[in-house]
Amino acid sequence: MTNSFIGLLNSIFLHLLLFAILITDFSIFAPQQDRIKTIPVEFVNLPIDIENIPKKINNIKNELLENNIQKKELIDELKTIDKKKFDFDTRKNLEDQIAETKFLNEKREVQIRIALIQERINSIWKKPSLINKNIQAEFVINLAPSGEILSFDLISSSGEKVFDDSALAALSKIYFITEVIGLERKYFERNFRSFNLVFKSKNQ
Amino acid sequence: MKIFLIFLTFLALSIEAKLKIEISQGSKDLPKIAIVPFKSNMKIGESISMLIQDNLTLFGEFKALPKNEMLSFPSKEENFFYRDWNILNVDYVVIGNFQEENSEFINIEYFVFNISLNKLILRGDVSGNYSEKEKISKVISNRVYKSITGLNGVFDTKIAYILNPSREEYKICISDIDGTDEEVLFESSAPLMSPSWSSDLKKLAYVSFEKGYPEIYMQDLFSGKRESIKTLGLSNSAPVWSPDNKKLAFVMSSSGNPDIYIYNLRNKKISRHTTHYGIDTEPAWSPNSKKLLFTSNRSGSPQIYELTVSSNRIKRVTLDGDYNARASYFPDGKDIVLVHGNNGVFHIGTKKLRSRFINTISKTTLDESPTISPNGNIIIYATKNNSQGYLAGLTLDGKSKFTLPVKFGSVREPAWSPFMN
Repeated sequence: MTNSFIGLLNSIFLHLLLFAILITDFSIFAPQQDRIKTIPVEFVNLPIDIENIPKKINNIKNELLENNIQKKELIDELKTIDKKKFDFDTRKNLEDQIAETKFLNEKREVQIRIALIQERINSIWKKPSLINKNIQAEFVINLAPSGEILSFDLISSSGEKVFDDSALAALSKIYFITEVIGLERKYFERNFRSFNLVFKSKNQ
Repeated sequence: MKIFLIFLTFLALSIEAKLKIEISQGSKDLPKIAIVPFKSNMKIGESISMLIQDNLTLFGEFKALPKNEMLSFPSKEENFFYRDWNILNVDYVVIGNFQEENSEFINIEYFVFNISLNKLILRGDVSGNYSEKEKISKVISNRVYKSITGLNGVFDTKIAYILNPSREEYKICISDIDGTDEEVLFESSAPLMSPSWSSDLKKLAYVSFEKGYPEIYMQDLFSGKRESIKTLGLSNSAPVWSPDNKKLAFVMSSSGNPDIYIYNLRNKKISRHTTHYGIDTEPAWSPNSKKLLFTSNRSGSPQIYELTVSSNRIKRVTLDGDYNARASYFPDGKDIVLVHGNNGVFHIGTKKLRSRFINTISKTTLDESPTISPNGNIIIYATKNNSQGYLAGLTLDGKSKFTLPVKFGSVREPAWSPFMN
């Protein structure tokens, strides 16, 4: 009986504890520094004029976009920022800008790959001359991270066998889409693991 | 609730965000085709395959693999190996053999393979007289072309043109589209102009100045019999046969001002369809014989207009450029080809009827009289080199440009025949 009572008390205590954790937004489990965990560790330690931080970040971001500077260089640059002098708003602003920069970096990496893939498939595809017909055939391509084409399937026919066959013939000549090699794995998974190729009879 | 909404948003974004890559240009390389000498006990096997190769490469649409580069010479499906052609980067292979052959009769079996797809795409046979090997090769060429491109072949069509060998020598000639078998239909010391085919391929209409003024004649291609259109006007020109073969559109100047008229070939009555004080000329029928394109200077410079025959309603078609003339419809009736000029430079252009943009497709600068192949894929036009007129052509995809065999004399006003069904 006593054991049951102790068990009940334990249960109530544990539930109260859990409830307390929930309403404090899990923060009990998080080490203090993890609350700003999206700010890279590399940002710490170096003195800098705090008023110029947002401006500097913007400059770096612009430089990244304009000069194709890799993310690593951005991180190196950001090492010059002193963590201790950040207030919360500055951190938040920085977080947003880093997220945006990462997004733009991914977008740029993907767009470069898309352009390379387009260039290669265009060089292989012998487009039939179907006068004035505005048609398209769509394929789904499944890739391995090595670039190997695991499968390709026609998911939307153009209605013209000759046109579909020409696209199929072009894809049959490609075994690897090497253009995705070297792409960060998460970018690959998000964009190229499975994507669609649309062959169009006319430039839009 | 908020978390649920955020989840839904992410879900929607992830569904929307699947990458789509568009491919629309295609390679500049021509499809590579190998025509393997057909297996025959007589010499004709190789000559038939050479004729087919000449046809298929006539307009520069294919690149042929030379015989000395072939690794094997199959003649039947069972002895055909794709690897022999894959290694040579060939796209299509044509093989064939003679099922029957003697000095009078031949029967040929042929096959077309798509190498990239490892697929037999056509198997057929054709027979005929031994003496008709050119005709037989054209039949095979047309079928091979259709199996590869999806378009009807034009290798057995003909072309009419005006040949001007010397100052006072004019001829209306008809030849095969490759320039062979040229025949003179009519010749005169006075100018001849504007040949136009009847859609049944039995007659040709043209303008002759033999009486000192322009008069329209219709000439039977088999009997040679000529018939002129009796009109009240003194100046008649630019006859064009309607695709339904019932009417002839032409230009007549009854009071010094050229307008578009239609001659009904059944009841021989003439109706007037434009009345503007500007010059209206160069009519061209729509594929359904219900509309006409024509050139008019009513706006101050030559521009293209479209006339609905039943209502005489007129719509301006071209807006750009200081010179647009000699328009004709593509077989689909939605696009047109025309001569487009700016500052004295004239190119062949194409234009969608519903769009403003004119796409110039020829590179030479004194181009005139474009004529479209009946399958709509090739344009032949007259151009000049040091005042010598010759015929040049191009494919609509712009991959190929060619000139037709040089004639003795200036060549003008080509008119491509309809399909020879």
